[in-house]
Order: sequence, then C-alpha cells, then structure tokens
Amino acid sequence: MYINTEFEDLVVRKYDEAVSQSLDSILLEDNTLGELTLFIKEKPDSVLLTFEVRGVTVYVGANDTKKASS
Amino acid sequence: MSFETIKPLEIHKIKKLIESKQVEELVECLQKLEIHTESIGVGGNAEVFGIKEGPFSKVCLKKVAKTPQIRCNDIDTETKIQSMARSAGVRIPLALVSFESGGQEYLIMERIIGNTVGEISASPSKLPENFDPKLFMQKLIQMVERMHNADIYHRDLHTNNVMVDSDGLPVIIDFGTAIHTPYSGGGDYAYEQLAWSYDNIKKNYIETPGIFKDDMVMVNNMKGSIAIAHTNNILTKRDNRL
Repeated sequence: MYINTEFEDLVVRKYDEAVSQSLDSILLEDNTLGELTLFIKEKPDSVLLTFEVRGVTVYVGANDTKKASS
Repeated sequence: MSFETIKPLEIHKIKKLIESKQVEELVECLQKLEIHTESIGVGGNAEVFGIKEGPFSKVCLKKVAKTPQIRCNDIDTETKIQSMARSAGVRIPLALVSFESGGQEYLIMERIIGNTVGEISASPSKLPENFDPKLFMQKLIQMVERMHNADIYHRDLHTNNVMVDSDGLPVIIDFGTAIHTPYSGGGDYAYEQLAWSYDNIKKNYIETPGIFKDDMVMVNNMKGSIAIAHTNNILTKRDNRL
C-alpha cells in the first residue's frame, strides 16, 4: 500500500485551513478531486481514508449526495 | 483505533491507520460505490473505472488485470513513479492511494475529463473546440523532457497513454512500465530491465527483455487537420525503448 505524499500534504494543508476557519469539513481540491472532502469531527457516509493529523482523527470521503442535500 | 507511524519525520504531522485497517476501509468504500461505476478505459494490463455521478465522480479506480499482458511495476511502484513525474511538473493525474486486496491491485486517482489521442483519432468530434495542435505538441515534448530530466522514462508512451484534457492540453497516463533510474549514457540497453509478459501457452509469465518498442505519438485526423506529430527524436534522445 502506498499513499501519495502529495496527497498527504494536501490533507494536512486542508486540515490547517479548516481549523483556521473553524470548519468541520472542507473540500480537498475541487478542481482536481471534485467533492472529495476532509471531515474533521464526523465520519462521513463513505470513508476512503482515515488519518490522524496533529493528534486529530480526520476522514477523507464524502456524504451521500441525497443525505447531504436533505 | 490503533495507529502506526509510517514516516518518523512526520510524527508530529500525520499518522495513518495500520495498513490492514486502511485497506479494509478502502474496500468497503469501493463496494459501496461499485454500483455507480462505469468502465472508462481498458488496456491490456488494466481497466479504469469512473463513478457516474456524485461526490466521487472526479476520482477513478485503476484495477490491474490479474494476468496483464506485460507485467513490469507493481502498483505501488507505479504510483510512486507517477507521483515523482508529477512532482517534476508533468501533467499527470494526482494519485491518492494504491493498494492490494485479495490478489487484486488498485490505484485510486484523479479522473481526467478528456479523451486519449487514440480515441480522438478514431472519433475527431471528441476534440475540444480550443485545441491547438502546435501548443499540444510543445507541451507534450516539454513534459517528456521534464520526465527525462527527473530520470523518469515512461517507455509506453503511445496514443492511448496520452490524453487531451478539456482545455486541449496533454496529460500523460499509465506508468505501469515506467522506470526511475539515473541515465548512465549507454545505448539501447542503458536502462535494461526485464519485464514479464504473459505466455498463453505456458499460462505463466516469462521474462522478456527488450520488449519496449520505439515510441511515436501521432496526432492525426484531428478535425481533418494535418497535425501528424512524430516525437521520436525527442522521446528517444536518451532511451529509445521508451
């Protein structure tokens, strides 16, 4: 298994950005990865990867579109 | 939940789940998405699936064939070389994670919206309106030079491994036979590396040196233009088995 370091760096960068803006979730890179999102508190419906960033568990994934829009 | 540190230097920054947990999570996620997938590309070595709609529609899944025609890199090596080439400034899909489960190798990466040069050659209407053949070739040659300067050799750069994105610019894909090695200044065999090709009679892989053919990228029949590009001189400057 190999997790791309560029992707890891993106996760950390976005985590810092979310924390600085007091957000619980933030889009990773909408131009490149669309709606793939970093979740800080709640685990989303579909989790692709889980990391621990600066001691906090974060999830890369997305919520079901229907649920998210309801 | 247990964690292990993969990179000691980043202990303060990021930790990953233990590998088996990560793979379990990935497989579970892919199973959820499976009903929404569509095949977006098939080659001798792998098939690529996209998600039709929803939040995962801009990522795709490469599934390596269990008996690929030519076996060279394992999926992790392929992903590492792909990532290195991207770091060298080459337009390549952003790889997220590669893994193996149940004997099947997978790579999850950015989905490029566009078509391969091969697909466009067969169906010119797929070419973006703003396509500029001269700019396209300039960019492609520049990308190959950047890869070479980073000691990366694709070695399978044919029309189905070069995409035209929605902006009409090239994107290089499929690093299954790519290598990363310093150039030693030799000739044809400067980067000699055995590959394994599948033998249908023996029902197994056989070592096959020198299987990589000369490379050519043809951009023909595009909107009836005369843009036929032969980049062999550039592509073979250092390695004529690209």
